Amino acid sequence: MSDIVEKTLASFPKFLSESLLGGNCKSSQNAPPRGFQNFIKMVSSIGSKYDEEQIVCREMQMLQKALSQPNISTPQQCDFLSRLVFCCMLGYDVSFCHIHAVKLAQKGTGINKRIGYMSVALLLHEDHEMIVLLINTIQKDLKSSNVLDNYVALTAASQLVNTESIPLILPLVLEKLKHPRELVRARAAQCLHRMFIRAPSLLQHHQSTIQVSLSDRDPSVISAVLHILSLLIQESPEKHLPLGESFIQILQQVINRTFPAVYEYHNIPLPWMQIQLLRILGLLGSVSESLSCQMQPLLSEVLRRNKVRENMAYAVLYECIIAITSMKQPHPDLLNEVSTCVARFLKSPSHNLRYLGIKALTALIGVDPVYATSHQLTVVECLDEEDEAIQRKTLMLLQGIANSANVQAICVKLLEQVNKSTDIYFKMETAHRIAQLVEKLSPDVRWYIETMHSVLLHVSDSPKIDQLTATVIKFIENSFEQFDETFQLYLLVKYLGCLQEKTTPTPVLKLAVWIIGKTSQNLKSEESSRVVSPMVDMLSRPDLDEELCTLVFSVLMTLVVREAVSTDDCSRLLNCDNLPLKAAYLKQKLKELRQLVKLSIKFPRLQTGHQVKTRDFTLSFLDDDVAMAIESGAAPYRPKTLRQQDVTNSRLSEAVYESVYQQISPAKSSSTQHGSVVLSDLSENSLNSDKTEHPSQSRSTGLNLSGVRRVWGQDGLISVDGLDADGDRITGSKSSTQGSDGDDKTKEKHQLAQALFEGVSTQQAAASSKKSWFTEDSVQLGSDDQSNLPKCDESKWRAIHQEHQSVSKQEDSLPSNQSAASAMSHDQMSANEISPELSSVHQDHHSFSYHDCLYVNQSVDVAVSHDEKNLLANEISSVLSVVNQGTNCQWEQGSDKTCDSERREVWVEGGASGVECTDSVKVRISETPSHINDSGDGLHSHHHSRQMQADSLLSDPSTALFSGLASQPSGEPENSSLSDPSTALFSGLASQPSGEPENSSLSDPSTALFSGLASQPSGEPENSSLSDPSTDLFSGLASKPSVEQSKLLIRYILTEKEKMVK
Amino acid sequence: MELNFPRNESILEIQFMLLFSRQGKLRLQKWYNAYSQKDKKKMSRELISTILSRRSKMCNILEYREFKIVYKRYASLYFCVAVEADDNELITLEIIHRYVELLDKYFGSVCELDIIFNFEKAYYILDELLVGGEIQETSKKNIIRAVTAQDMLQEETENPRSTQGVLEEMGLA
Repeated sequence: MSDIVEKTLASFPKFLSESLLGGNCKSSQNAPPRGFQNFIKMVSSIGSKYDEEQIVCREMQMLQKALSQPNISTPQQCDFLSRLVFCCMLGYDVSFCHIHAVKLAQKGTGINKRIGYMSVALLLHEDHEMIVLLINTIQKDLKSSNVLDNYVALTAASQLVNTESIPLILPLVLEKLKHPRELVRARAAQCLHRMFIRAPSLLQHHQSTIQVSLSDRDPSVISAVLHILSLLIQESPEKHLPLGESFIQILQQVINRTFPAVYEYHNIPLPWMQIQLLRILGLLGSVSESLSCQMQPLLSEVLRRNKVRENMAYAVLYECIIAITSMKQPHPDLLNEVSTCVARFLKSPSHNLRYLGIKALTALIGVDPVYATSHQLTVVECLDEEDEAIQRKTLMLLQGIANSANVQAICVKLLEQVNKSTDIYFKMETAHRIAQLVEKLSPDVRWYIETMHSVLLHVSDSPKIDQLTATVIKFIENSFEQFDETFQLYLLVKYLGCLQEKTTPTPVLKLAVWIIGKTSQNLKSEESSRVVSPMVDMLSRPDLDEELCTLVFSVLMTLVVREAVSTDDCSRLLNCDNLPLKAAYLKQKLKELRQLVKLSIKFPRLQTGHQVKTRDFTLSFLDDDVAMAIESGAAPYRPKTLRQQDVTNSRLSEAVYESVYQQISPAKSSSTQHGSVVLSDLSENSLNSDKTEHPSQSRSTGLNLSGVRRVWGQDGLISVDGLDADGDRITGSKSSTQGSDGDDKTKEKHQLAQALFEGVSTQQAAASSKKSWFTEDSVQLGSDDQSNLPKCDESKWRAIHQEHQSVSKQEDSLPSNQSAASAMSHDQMSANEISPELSSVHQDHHSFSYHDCLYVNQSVDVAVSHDEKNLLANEISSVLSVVNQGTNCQWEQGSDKTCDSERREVWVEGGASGVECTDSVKVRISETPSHINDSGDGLHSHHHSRQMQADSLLSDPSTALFSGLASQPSGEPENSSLSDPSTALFSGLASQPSGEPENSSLSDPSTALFSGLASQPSGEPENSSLSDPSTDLFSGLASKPSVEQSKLLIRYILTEKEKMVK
Repeated sequence: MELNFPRNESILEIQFMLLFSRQGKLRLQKWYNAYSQKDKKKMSRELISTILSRRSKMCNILEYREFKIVYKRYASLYFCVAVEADDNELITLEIIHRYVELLDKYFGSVCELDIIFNFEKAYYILDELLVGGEIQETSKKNIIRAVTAQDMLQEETENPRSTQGVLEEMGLA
């Protein structure tokens, strides 16, 4: 009854406004006062922008004056504000009137208040400082007994209340949910929705109050409440499954048209509420199987009922399709219905519907790619659409159906788009998509290289291009060992060509330089000038990219050491003095390189690509050296049990070792089984297992390769899901029957369709047998894992980084140099063990210097028993004693340089103590502090400045490290607390390798060489994001050297040292 | 190129709405997220020029920055709405249509001039239709009722005596 009365009353205003109050709403009575209209007329009649500016500015000045007068009437104020809002829309700054708008909202009544609120809403935003002034007014209006005041205040509250003030308003708004008039109730619910978007935390407490309103008799209230609840459900669908039942009921009521007919829109009952309900049901269905079963009949009814040719019906249909495809296990029949619906979209002449159809199809193939096959031709047509929006969506669809059979065709299409487009955002996004696709599905490495090369060329001007280059480098790095000689040669020739072209963009140049370094063993000597001169040219470019420059230096060093290029060429080219190198570290690198070129030492020709199967873990080759060292007065090794350690040290080392042993236990077990350990396997193991998450897994299996797709086998490429020849034929015949017109154009399209949908239909062919599910699953699994891999790496890196930081903090707290040094070395060791990349790099790539014995030793730690380890440490320490003598002798000379060497020595010893903290080493360290103290003061500022330099160069950590290393080490233990502990740590790590060879031959010109070379491995982890020059450098020097070779080098170093001592 | 995005990342269905003429003159703008004046100006300028350059046969959807723009032309006026990228564009089109229907109903047969000279009315109607960037399910009648009630109120302030009785009768006062 009351409803009827209300409806009758509701029709009054219109009736009144049209008859009693002077015709329709355009009447002069209703229109705003003259001033506003005149102003608008004036502005619209003006032709030029300049005149408009003149008039508006004059008007604004006038208004500013007028508004600030005290005796201004409210209607006048409204008029002025309307004009100013209009000015604001024209793009002028009207900030002076903000306060007047707020004032009007405060003191106005009725329509004036409304204009005040409206101008505030249009001129300010919710986080504006002046909103605070309005909160009180809103509160007052909410408490008012006038319905319109309530209404206006609720509208304002939904637009203007900021997060901080919500608690002040919220209780009042909640109260309004029980208001007798549905207009106010609905507006209150809408206002609440907006508030909960801004402050989601408040929602939890009021959920029950709001849920009551779900049974309101007014659909607009229900609809607003649905919005609020969908916020909750989006957050955690699982928690709100019990509500699912009532949503289904409401939807049932809606489509049965139980709500008043006024709520129909183009004959569709409550379309927006339907859409809201469908979205919610889709969310709930995605987590609950039982609920999705329950709603399936209803959804199929929604599909059937919305068959009218009405845009709104299509909108509801689309939502329904999305809901069904997001459900857990939708019924095949339902999916078939969906498929026919999608066909309706796609066949429609309207562009908008086709656009939506493509989107719906993308959702559908997410459930099962088979459904794509019936729409192939439409999809191909959409690809050629002149409308870019549709084209883009279709490309996304193609990505969804990509598999190893059609990936080539799809990538070609995507590349075409990248080529055509001018939108940099789109280009970059598509480039990344292509990169993902080819990495996942590439059938052939050569094709991968070709595709990525053209992608890089196309998007070389994008800001995030480095990421893309990094992925390519990573890919090549990972699969480089499987490349045969012809392929390496191919790479070399291809990128040599790039190098020589003047127009090659920098990112591609980086890749080219890197690849040339990587494949340089295939370089023929007569080509050497072809390599060196463009590289040197690059250095002399005015717009020099520093990263590229560093890379060029590293690669040149590799080439020289490998004798891949003739030193004559190098020296001739490098000795021109006009290289515009600004940064100090680049100059340093240049100097090092020149030294290296001048050096006529024949480096022991190290075999590359030679896999070391067994290693001499007893380090028996060091026996002679140890004997020599002991003869010359080094302290002999003492077993661990005989040693005393101070409490902090032992505790620290225990903790570190514990983690180390946890890591190595799998390796241990395998070593007992096979007698000898293949180190590369070990490192691979540590690479593959995700330490932080699955320690148990990595412990139980020697080599965790589950989930990692094997692309390369011993015999070459393993094709993953194989090109099914039968399937191809099926597609071929199918599309040929479809396109019987014989028309060339359609034929072309068919061909394209065939190419694009190749694998999809293969799956379809196999879909009848259960087996296909299996293969598909496994493929998906593999691809998923592949795509996850980089992420894992990243997280691992972060963990390592944190480790570094935390340890370096620990180290700060240790008082003496000695303990700091040993702590540092512990840290270094643990870091090495924890970071498989780091250690594997060391293990794999170099054993050429003395320092690397330490690494060999470390890997021995991993594999052999404790006793043997002790033995090794003894040997190491005795070698060290020789070193020590050498540097002490140097120190006697008292030059600044030798002070530095002193410091280096501490580091070397630190390194040794990291391997095994022997007393003998400690003794040596304890001897040195006095020197350090002497030299420390003088050096302090020096080191400080170096630290600063390292910090400033942190943007490119590797180069920072290099510069830190090239001459003197920076990360002194006492110094490390200076600015950034982690920097200090890194440079500390880095200085270790460099320190040793430098000691060995202080005045020797090869210093530069060794420091350069030795510093590389420590640069490696930081640098892995791009251009790791160290890797290729080491592969150049000695990618897999045998123990004999390292022994040779150690001998060389030691004899040098002996000379120095004498 | 960088945009200052709103401080809190509230998820709104509709980001902003622009009404502009075929000559590219802005007639109405409503922003549901806080942007700086400069961004607003830049975005509306860019959008107006892109949309005006599109041909009538193309679909009414285009991607712009991180938004999806849905636009429709009614007579000489373009209605342009920015929504989130993964939203249902057809609904957005229908929202525009609904708005036009409401304007039509309110003004009689609506034309561009109606909106220019009664732009606050156009804003009221928009406020009824979209609250906080979310379409509200409500009947046309309700909206017109809410807006007209304010017209009545306006009358009331201008000549209080004549309409007071009517309002009381309706239970609005």
